[in-house]
Amino acid sequence: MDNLIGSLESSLSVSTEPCSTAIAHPRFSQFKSKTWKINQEERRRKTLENQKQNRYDYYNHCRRLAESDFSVDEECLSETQEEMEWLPPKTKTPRAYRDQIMLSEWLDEVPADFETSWLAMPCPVGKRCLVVASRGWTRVYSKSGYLITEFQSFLPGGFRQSSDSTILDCLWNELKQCYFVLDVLSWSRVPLLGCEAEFRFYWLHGKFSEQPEFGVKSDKNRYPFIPLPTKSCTKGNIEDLLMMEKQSWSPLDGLLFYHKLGYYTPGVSPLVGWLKPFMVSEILKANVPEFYMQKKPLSYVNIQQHLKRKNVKEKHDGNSVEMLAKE
Amino acid sequence: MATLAEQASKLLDFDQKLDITLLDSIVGCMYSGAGEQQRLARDVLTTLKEHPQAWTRVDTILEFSSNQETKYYALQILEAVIKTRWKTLPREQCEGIKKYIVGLIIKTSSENETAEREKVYLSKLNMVLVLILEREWPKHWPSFIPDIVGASKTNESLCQNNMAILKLLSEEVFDFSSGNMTQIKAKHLKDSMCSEFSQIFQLCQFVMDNSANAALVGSTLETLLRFLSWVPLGYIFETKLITTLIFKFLNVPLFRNVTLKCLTEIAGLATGPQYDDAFAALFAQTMAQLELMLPLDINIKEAFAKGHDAEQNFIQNLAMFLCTMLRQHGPLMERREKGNVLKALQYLLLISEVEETEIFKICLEYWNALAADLYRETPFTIPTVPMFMTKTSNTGSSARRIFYQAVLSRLRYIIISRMAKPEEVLVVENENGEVVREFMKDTDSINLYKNMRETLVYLTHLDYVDAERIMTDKLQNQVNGTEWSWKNLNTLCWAIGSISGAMHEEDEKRFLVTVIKELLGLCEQKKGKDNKAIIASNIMYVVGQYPRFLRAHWRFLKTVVNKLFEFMHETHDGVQDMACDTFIKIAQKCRRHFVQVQAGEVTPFIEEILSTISTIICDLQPQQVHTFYEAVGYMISAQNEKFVQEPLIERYMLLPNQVWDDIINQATRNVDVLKDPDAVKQLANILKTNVRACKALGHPYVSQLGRIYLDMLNVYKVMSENISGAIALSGENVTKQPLIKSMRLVKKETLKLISDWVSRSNDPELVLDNFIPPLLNAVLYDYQRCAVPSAREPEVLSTMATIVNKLEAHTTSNVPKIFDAVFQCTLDMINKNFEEFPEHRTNFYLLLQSVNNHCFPAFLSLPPAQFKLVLDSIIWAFKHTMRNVADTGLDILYQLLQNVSQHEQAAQSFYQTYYIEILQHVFSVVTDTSHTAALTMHATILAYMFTIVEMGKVAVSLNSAVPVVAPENLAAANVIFVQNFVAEVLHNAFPHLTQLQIKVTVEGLFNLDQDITGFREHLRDFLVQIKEFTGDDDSDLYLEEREGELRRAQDEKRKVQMSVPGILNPHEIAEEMQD
Repeated sequence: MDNLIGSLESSLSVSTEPCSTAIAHPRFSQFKSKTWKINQEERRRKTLENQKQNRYDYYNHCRRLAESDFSVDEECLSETQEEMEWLPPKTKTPRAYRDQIMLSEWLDEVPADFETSWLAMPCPVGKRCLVVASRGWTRVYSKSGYLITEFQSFLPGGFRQSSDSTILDCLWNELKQCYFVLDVLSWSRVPLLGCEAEFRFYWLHGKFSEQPEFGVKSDKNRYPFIPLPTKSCTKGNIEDLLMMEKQSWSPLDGLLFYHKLGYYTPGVSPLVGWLKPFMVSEILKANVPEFYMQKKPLSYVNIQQHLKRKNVKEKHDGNSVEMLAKE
Repeated sequence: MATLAEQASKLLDFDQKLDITLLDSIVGCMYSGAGEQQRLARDVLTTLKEHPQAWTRVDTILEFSSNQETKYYALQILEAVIKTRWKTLPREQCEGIKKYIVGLIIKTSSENETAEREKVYLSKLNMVLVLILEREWPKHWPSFIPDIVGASKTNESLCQNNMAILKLLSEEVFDFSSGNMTQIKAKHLKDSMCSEFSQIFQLCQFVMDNSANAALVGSTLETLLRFLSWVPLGYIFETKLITTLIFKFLNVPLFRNVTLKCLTEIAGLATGPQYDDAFAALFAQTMAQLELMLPLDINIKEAFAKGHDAEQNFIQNLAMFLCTMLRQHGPLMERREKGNVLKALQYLLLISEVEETEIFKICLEYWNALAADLYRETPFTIPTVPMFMTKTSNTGSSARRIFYQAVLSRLRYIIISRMAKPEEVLVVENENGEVVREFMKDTDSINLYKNMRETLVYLTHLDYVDAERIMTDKLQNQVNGTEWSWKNLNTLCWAIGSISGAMHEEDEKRFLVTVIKELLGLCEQKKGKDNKAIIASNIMYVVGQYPRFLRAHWRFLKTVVNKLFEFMHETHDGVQDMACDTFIKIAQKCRRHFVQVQAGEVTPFIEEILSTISTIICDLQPQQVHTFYEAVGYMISAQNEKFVQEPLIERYMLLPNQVWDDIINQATRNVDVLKDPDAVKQLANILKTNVRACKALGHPYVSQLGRIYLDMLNVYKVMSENISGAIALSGENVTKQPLIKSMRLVKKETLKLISDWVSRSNDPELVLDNFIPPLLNAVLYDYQRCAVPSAREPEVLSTMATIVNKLEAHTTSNVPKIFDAVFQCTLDMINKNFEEFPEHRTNFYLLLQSVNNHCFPAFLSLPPAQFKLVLDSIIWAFKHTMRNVADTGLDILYQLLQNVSQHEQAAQSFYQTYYIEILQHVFSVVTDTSHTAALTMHATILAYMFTIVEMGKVAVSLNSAVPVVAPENLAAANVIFVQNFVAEVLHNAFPHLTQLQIKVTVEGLFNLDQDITGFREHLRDFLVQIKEFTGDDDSDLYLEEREGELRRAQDEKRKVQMSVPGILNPHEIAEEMQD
């Protein structure tokens, strides 16, 4: 029975991205998945390398996303490598925006250059979505590409008089009725997908500080847009992020970690990491406020305890049930 | 155009000679013209057809017109006159028409070529002749059978058409007589046909023995087929009919289909054991012939796929024959024809592989009966020694099971290989413009699944080792690729999922562990999201089908559920839906396990779900979120400790409540927030979540309902005001706007939530004290004062009905308030016609019904004028042609009559005021052909009304002209008065009926009032009679005979009454019976 449960957990999946945050964190899970054969560090290195070698027509991809023009053949894309899995939606269907958001992996192995090459971002609770401001309307699409809502906003392209287009990666917080901005794919027709994360964040924050009215609810800006800050990944910065209580984005759902050089790619990327606050203390050895530690699910165990328990179990489990099943 | 009308009027002038050319051109215009001209032509022809003298023109038209359509039209005129006024025509005219038609048929059918060319015309002529026969034979045409048999011998073409006439006659008399002729007349015709059958039979036999004309033989066999179900058995079993069929016709390709149908008809006859030998011989001989035609090693599936219509029909007929034979005579054949039974089963197995669902269904019906029968011989028992230790399958004991063993194994394989889809999901857009998924309940495909599942369960009981082996083998073939395809995998997993519970628990576990392991391996092996998604769905389907297994293995269950949560983030098509559907299925079946602390856990799993709920659902669509909430609600409902459950509910509803509170707070500051489209949409969405939570939690949902109740009612009021305001401002079209639609949705969901909870509540006092008063104030007041009728929600009425149905007599005191608010204003909406506001109509009567059923005293306390309004509205209800409304109206009336009778004093004044009026109205619908579907209910009500009069329950005189009658004569006086009244009503409505007809009808109504079926058939006979003018000759209605029968019924009824002491009035009992 243990075997069966193990293989159910590890081999039953539809998407096969390793370390996807949809499943349990590898270190906190009871079973080791077979899909994580290549370690995370190695995958990061490869992704960065591919990024350099592959020239992709980010401009056109961005334009298509912004203008919902999916008629173009993908002949020009044939050279893209498999690992990039980087095909724009083919037809103009209601779900053309499916799987366009960049998703994180669990931060399993702490990178050697963590403090110098990575940025940490506080991440509140919310529904991940793609905000497409184009042709005079601001439309919001879910991760799976369904149109959630549409309204008027100040974003370039998002109000009637505007002919611009802008695409943001956001979190909708229902309770606070606002959009937290994580990342930018395109701004005022300037494609930013092919830019490094550090630059994208710089751009984003620049634009938002130039025009504070993005963050204010008004007749012409139905919901506030609030960009999330980033900090370099020192222990102190991370502890600060967790400590801050009075911010609009607290309490946190978790922390995102972006590699400064990573481009914006759809789907799960090893250049983006994710941790729940209670995991931070174990993985990054940082102090975590008690408030977050209490949220740790009781069934989650730390690694040592988990290994101990497993050994005990295997010893005294000549498991009768298991025997029957093998019969 | 004017000329056309002008000319047409000439046609209607019966003093002039008929202008055939003109008629032909008008008929032509009607069939091939267009527009105004065509309409005019149709009007002319209709007027002409309805003219009482029209039939006198028929012979001229038939003789001189060269246009087929005109002739057809003439025959329609004739048909109408025969159906309605035959009896009123002078005898010589009848004779004339009869002779004319017969002559025409003989002329047209005598020559093969003409008969073939004018086939349609001829068959219409045949139909007209049969209509005449129904009225003439046997009384006015005693020699019909000898005539037609004699004529048949003149030539083959004529004979062939005569066969068609006999076939038609048989169908009219034996198959379609109900409702078209009176019972007693149908009986007479059947008797005549049986007694003269020998001549017909001889004719058939003569043709079969001697004719070389294939078409004639074919018609004869077709005609014979119609006879087989009713002819005296001797003709079938004591003649050489069966052997002729088998040896002369079965192997002739041209005749084999009809022959096989004849043999099937014979095989299906219920006879005594005296014909066992004949059946055994029929079976053996047919099998021998079949084997020559269709070798047992043939691949029927392929042959069918390649075959023509006739060959495909033959396979279907063969399936029918074998199934009928084996079902009707299984035990006999098992005893005497073992070898042939095995061959027959072999054919059936081969036919069961044919990829044609209708044919498979025929076989399945038999297989199901066989498997059930074998299972019931030695049903499943829980053995003392677990099965997995003995390792033997439980087929051993019975000789019959051994006999069928090999066949059943093959059958298992076939059923597993073609298992039907267990559920059908339809994606539709509902009236609120939302795309929703609906689970179909009653489709063909689901019924097929149910039948296959039942059969497979029996088959598994009969030999579970074999079932398991086949499934594991087929699973292996998925893994090794020989049978891999999405369709095959689905089919196999549906089969695996269908036998849940049919094995012993330990066997089931072992089997399931193997299956899941193989499927997981397959999932790992296949590349591509499409493949993986299909396999994952199948694993989850199988797992969801085995709740017993899940309940016994907590860690497995937990892993499955976590996997489902993972899938709720998967963006691949359909995976999220699959995850939510499986989750709710598992939640329902294993709910308790999620609220208990399981071995190896610190807290119940529900805690974990509640603390991560926002993460789990963050990628789901609203409808999926609702499903998720319902599922979690089922888990919480399993926690019986109130003090544990309430905090769970609070945490469970935390997210929606936060948003709700926020909107409500904003609205308290500025009520215009409730006009914001997003806010309204969110409210509707939250209410939907609440509806699902309520559905799952049942009564304990009260803690959450209490939290939002008053705010919700306020929102309801505001929405209603907004809608009315918008309509007042921009007209009713505004209701099509998305914002107004969402506002209505908020109202509808509010009402749905309240009625759903009330119907699940278990504390009437609590509901009545805390929830009803604010509801009545908010919702009813709003309904009543709503200025635009179409803005009233019909659900208000159904909610009130639900409350009354649930709280029963507790709500009696609230009924006046409910009625004040909804009665008059709804009635005003629906009393103008029978169609507008169908939902309000339906719900209004459902409310009336619930009050009548549970709060009847409230009706009695109404002032007379209001009570009359209620009664009038009930009468109005059963005059509807909308079936559901009319049915509800009749139900209410019947229940009302019964309720009234319980209150002696009120009853008498009720009878005095309304009895006669009600009677009159009920008769008006009985005799209205658009209400025939409700005939049974009409009969029930009338019978009840006559009974109470007869039994003296009506203690006042119904005759307003004679208001005072001595009590001992009252019942008799009322009976006579009612009888005369009914007779008069009928006579006025149907002046063409004779006095005797009406007398017999009315007497029957009283004599049969204790026998609803008899009463109904009596009414039906009456309805047949009113269609036809009888004239002076009512002899073929056999009224005297009917009177005799009714008298017997009356005696019978008296006997029954006498057997119950006290039923009969002492004054009615004969002297000698009293001591």
